[in-house]
Amino acid sequence: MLSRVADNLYWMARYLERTENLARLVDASASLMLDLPQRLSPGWQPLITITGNQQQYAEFARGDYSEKAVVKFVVAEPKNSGSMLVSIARAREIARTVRDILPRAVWEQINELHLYVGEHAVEAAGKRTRHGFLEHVIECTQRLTGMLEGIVSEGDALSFLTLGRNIERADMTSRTVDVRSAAMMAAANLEELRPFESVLWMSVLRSLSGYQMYRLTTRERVHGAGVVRYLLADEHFPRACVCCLRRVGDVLHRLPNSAPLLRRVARMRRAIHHTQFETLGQGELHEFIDRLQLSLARTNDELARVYFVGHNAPSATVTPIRVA
Amino acid sequence: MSRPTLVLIPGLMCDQGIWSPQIDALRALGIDCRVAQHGLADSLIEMARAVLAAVPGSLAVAGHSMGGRVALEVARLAGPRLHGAALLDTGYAPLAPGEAGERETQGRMRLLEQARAEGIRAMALSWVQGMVHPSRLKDRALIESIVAMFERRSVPEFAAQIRALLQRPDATSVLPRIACPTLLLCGEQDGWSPPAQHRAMAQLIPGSEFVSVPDSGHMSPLEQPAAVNAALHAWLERVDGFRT
Repeated sequence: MLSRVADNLYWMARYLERTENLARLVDASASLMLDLPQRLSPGWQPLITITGNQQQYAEFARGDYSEKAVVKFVVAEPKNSGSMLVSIARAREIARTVRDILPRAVWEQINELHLYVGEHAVEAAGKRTRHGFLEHVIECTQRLTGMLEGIVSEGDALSFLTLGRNIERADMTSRTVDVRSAAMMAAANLEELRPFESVLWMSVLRSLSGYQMYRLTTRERVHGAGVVRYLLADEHFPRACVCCLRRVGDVLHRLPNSAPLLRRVARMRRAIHHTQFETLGQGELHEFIDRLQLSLARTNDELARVYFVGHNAPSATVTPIRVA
Repeated sequence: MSRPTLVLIPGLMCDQGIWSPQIDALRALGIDCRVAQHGLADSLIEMARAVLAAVPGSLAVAGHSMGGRVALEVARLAGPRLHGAALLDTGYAPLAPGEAGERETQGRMRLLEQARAEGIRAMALSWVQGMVHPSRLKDRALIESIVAMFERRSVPEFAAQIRALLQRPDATSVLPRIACPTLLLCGEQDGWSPPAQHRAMAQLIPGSEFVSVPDSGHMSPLEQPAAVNAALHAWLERVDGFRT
């Protein structure tokens, strides 16, 4: 497979996954606001922090962290390179260039979703139609994921799609855990918030569709350390970091020249397994997730180095230019 | 004594294209040179090591933009092997702490995202806007040659070099230790690495010379080739082995 095509498939899967994750995030934040008493509400700012857009937002909205401004920025803002609108537009743009190797139904579904988001994103920033809009986006992206799993032959194309989806998922799950746990710990009125702790963590689980699986797997009540452990370290929940990393590893095993990448992925999994989340302070958890994110970014770069520029990856050289 | 090897070091996403008017002028003077290519190197020190590994014996370096920062790392590592340094439209400070650094990081990442999503050409067309003197944006041949140069590079190279820039070391301590003839040159309207920054460097490097190029943005070697060639010629006249 051409390295350019591999690169495209990888990023198409990342952008599709990002589209879905943004929809989940907005929807879960909205229901959290309804569940918490207003004086304890974390507000909408964490949404900007989770999506890593603080700087751009600060310049853009000048401190307006109202529901409407934040949701519009995350969902419908064409100037926000991380918005849902931009993510699906990029996924579609890439899909167009690789559509000859994708089933026709996949291309049509992406196209349809792109049109739908473009048409409804702005009005969905308001409350009235939002939930239905987000639900539809999640359904469409899940249908796409199902199609890609269900009707794309195993081989290089599917490998790079799986890599992209799982790297993006692990990234988003770790960000969500980081920001929500920081908000919990930083709350000035911690004692007052305590009774609502499980409400907050339930919303984190719901944003990743993990509430039922958490209860089935752990048979525990919902509590902070338990949710953090589940979302980072569970081997079997598809949105848990370790599970994503296992899937990345499974694909890498079948690809050539993957030994250094496999070592990095194994190191990340080991680090998560050996961490005692129950005894970790907030600062330590944040540092841990920071390192994890850095390692995910490095994995992304190494994938690019090994597969997306081919094996003739240019190295630093000095070319002589002779007069004669 | 034998002539040191002259190495031209391009900046972010650039290649010999940024130096083409200078290469022609050097050719007319009968001076061989080499052009560094950074490939997927993702640290300035790695880039500097590649330059030193490729050149036996003594050398003189001219670096533009990120290439100037690589030249400073060459100076840090080379000691007495370095016989001359020309630093064009460049800087020496590490990523600023706090908001300014955040802003630089985000700006660079936005360009990288754009290159990934829309291709290098689309990214280059928006990037070039602040790069040259505003009046030169209408010079289609010049803009096209800059954009075409970026298009010769790949997105992974862009990513690696951006990483190198964001993690650049502080070169302040290198400046007073540079003992060879040094030229500092900067386009007067270079908004990215302004003249004041070069004056500050000139004050820290003993015996250095500062040349300000009027009517030029960040891409001085291409925007004002005659002025840059003249300054480089005068600089080489001060470097052992090139003196005529």
